[in-house]
Amino acid sequence: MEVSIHDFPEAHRKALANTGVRGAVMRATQTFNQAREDRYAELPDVEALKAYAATVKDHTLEHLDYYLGRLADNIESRGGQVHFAHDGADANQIILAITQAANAKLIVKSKSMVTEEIELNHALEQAGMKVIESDLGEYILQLEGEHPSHIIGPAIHKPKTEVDELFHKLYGVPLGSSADVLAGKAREIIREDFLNADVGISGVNFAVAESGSIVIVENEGNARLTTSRPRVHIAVMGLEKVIPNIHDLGVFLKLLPRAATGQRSTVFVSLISGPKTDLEIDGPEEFHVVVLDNGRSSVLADPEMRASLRCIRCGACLNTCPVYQQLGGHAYGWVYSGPIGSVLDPGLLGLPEAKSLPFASSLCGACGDVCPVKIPLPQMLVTQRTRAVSAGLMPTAETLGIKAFKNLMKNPALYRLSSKMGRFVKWGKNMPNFGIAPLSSWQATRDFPAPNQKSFRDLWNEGLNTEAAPKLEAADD
Amino acid sequence: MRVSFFVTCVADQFGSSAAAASVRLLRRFGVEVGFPQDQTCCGQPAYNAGYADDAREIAKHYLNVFEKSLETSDAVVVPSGSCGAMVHHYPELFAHDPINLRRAWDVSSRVFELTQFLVEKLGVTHPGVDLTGVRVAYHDSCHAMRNMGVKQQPRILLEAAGATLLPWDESCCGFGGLFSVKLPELSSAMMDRKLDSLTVDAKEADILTSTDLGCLMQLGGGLGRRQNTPRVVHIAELLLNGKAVLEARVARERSRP
Repeated sequence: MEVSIHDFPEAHRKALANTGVRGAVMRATQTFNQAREDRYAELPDVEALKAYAATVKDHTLEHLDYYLGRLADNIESRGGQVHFAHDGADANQIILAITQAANAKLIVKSKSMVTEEIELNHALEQAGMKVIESDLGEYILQLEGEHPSHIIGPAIHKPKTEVDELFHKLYGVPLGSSADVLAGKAREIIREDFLNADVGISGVNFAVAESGSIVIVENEGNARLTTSRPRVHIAVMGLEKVIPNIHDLGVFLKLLPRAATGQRSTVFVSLISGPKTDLEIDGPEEFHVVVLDNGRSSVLADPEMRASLRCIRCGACLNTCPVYQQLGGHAYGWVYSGPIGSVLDPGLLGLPEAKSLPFASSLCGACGDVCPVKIPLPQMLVTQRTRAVSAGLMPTAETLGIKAFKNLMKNPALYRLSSKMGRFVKWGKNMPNFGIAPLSSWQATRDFPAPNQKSFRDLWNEGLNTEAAPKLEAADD
Repeated sequence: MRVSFFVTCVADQFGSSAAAASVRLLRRFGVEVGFPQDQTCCGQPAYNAGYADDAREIAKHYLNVFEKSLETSDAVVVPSGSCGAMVHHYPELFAHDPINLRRAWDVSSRVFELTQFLVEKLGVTHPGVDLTGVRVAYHDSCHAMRNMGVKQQPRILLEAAGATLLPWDESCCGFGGLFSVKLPELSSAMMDRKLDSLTVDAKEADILTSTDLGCLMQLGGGLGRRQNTPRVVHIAELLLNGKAVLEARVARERSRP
C-alpha cells in the first residue's frame, strides 16, 4: 500500500467528515472491544499471560539471529525453501521469480498485512498474473480497489449497505441480502479460483523455530485452501514472527484470538511444516518462506522502540483507541494504523514521512492496557514525539511557544507577575475569541474559560491560609 | 498529617474554587495544608508535546520546590490527576541522570491525587456530606486512572455520600493538552462522543464531575455550547459542599458580569 502519511492533516479531516465510515468503524470496534474484554476476563490471570508472552518475544528478539537460523534450517530440512529479503522490492522479486518458475497465471492469497506493506499484488499484476484475495473482507476491498483499514478486519470501515450494492451490481445478489448470503456468493466464486490457482500466497502469524513450522490462524478456511490446494505455497513473514518452540505457541494461541476478535480460538489453526511428503495425498509440492526485514532490523537496533516488534498484529490497540475509533485506518496513510502504526511506521519509514502519527493521540493510554504482549505504546508515542522535536520537524511557532512556556514556569516571580497581569482585564465567564490560534482552534467548538477573578494563590494569601477547618459533621449513613 | 498542596497551574488560574475546596476538604479530615509559594507547573504540556529537555527544566524546578516542602510534610496532594501523573513520569525523564532520578523517585512516590489521598492514606470512607438523590456522571481522567491508579477512590466517596453514579461512555474526553488545539476537529469529535453519551445514557445526570480540571475544561467547554446540560463541578467542590453546589453554582453564575 502506497505511503501517504504526510497527508495525515488533510486525510484525518476527510475521515471525520465521512459519517458512514465513522459509524461502521465505531460499531465494529466496540463489538471487538466487548468481546475481547469478555474473553480476557475468562483467563485466570491475563496480565501474567501477557507478561509471559512479552518475555518470550523479547527473548526471541534478543537472539533473533539464532532463532531465524534455526527456523531456516528446520524448514529446509523438511524440503521447504527459505528466502531472506532485505526490503519490499527484494521480497517482490523473490516471489515473482518463484511464481514465474511455476509458470503461474492465477494466484490466490489469504490475508497478509506484510504483502500489503510490500505492495505484492501490484508487482504480480504488473507481471501479468491474476491475483485473487480470498479473505472475504480483502475480496470486497479488491473488488472496490481499496486497501485494508484494519489489521484483522480489513473492511470494517465498510457499511454493509455498500457491500450489498456492490454484490448486487456485480453478481445480481438481491439488495438487502443477509451477510451469510453475500459470503456464500463470494465463496462460490472464489472456490473456482482455488481449484485453478497455480500458486497460493499466505501470511504467517507465528513461525516456530524448533519445528520449522509456520502457524496461521483464521476463521474462513480460505487460508487452509490457499496453503494446501495450489501446487506452490509461498508464506511471507516479517522477521519478528519467529518464536522459539511449540510450547510457547500455546500462550500465543490463547492470547491472539482473544485480543483480536474476542474468540477463545479461531475456527482454523494451521501448522504447516513443509511441502507434501510422499506419504501425504494433498498439500503443495513446493513450500517457500520469505522472511522480510524492510526496516525491522533498524527497529531491532533501537532499544527504545524494540518492543514494538513484539506485536502479534491483533488489532486490539486499534479497537480501543478513541482516535482510531473516530478515523478508521485509512486516515493514517499506511498499512499499519492506530497506536501500533503510530509507533512502528516512523521506525519502518522514517520520522520525516511519519511525523504526524505519534501526535495523533490524546495519550489516553488505553492501547497500553489492552496489548496482549505489553508493548508500552503510550510511552513510545511520547518517545517518537520527542524524536520529532529533536529532529527539528516541528513548526517554529510551536517550538518558540514551548520555550516561552518553559521560561515562564521556571521562574516563579515571572509566573506570579503574569498571573496578576492576566487579571487586569475583567473578563467575562469565558475568554473572548481573538481569532488567534490556539485560542481560536479551541473555541471553534468549545468555550474557553476566562481566568478566575482571583487565582488560588490570591485566595490563599487573602485568608485561606489561616482559615479554620470546616467541621466534620457525623455522617448519616 | 501535614501535606503540601500542589495546586497545578490550571487550577491556580482557572479552577481556584475547586482548589480552595480541595484545601478545605483536606482540613475537614484534620490534615494540615501547606502551600509552597514558588510552585508553578509540572511541565506536562512540554513533555506530552515531545519537548523533553524543556520538560526536564520545569521538572527540576518542581523538584526543588517540593523536595524542600516535603522536608516538613508527609505528602504532596494534587487536585488534578494528570498533573500528578506527570510527576510520576519524572523518573522516565531523568532515566539517564542518576542524581535527579533519585530525587524524582523520592518526590513522585509521595504525590497523590486528592481522592486517592483521602481514601488510601487517610482511610476516609465517607466525605462528610449528603449527596442522596444526586445523580452524578463521573468521568475518569485517563492519566489519573492509568498512571496513578485512581478509579475506585472517587467512586467510593461519591457513593458513600449517597450519590447515584450513572453509567456512560468511558472513553477519553479528547483533551490531551496541546492535542486539543493541534488537532481540534479530532479532539472535538472525541468530546462529542462523550457529550452525546452524557445526554443519552446519562440524561438524568445533575452533575458531571471528575478529578481532573483538564478534562472538565474540555467537557465543560463543549457543554457550554449545548442546551439543558448537567452542571460541571470538580469533585472537591462536590465532596466539600454536597448538594449545596447545585444551588451555589446557579447563584454564582447569575452574579457573573
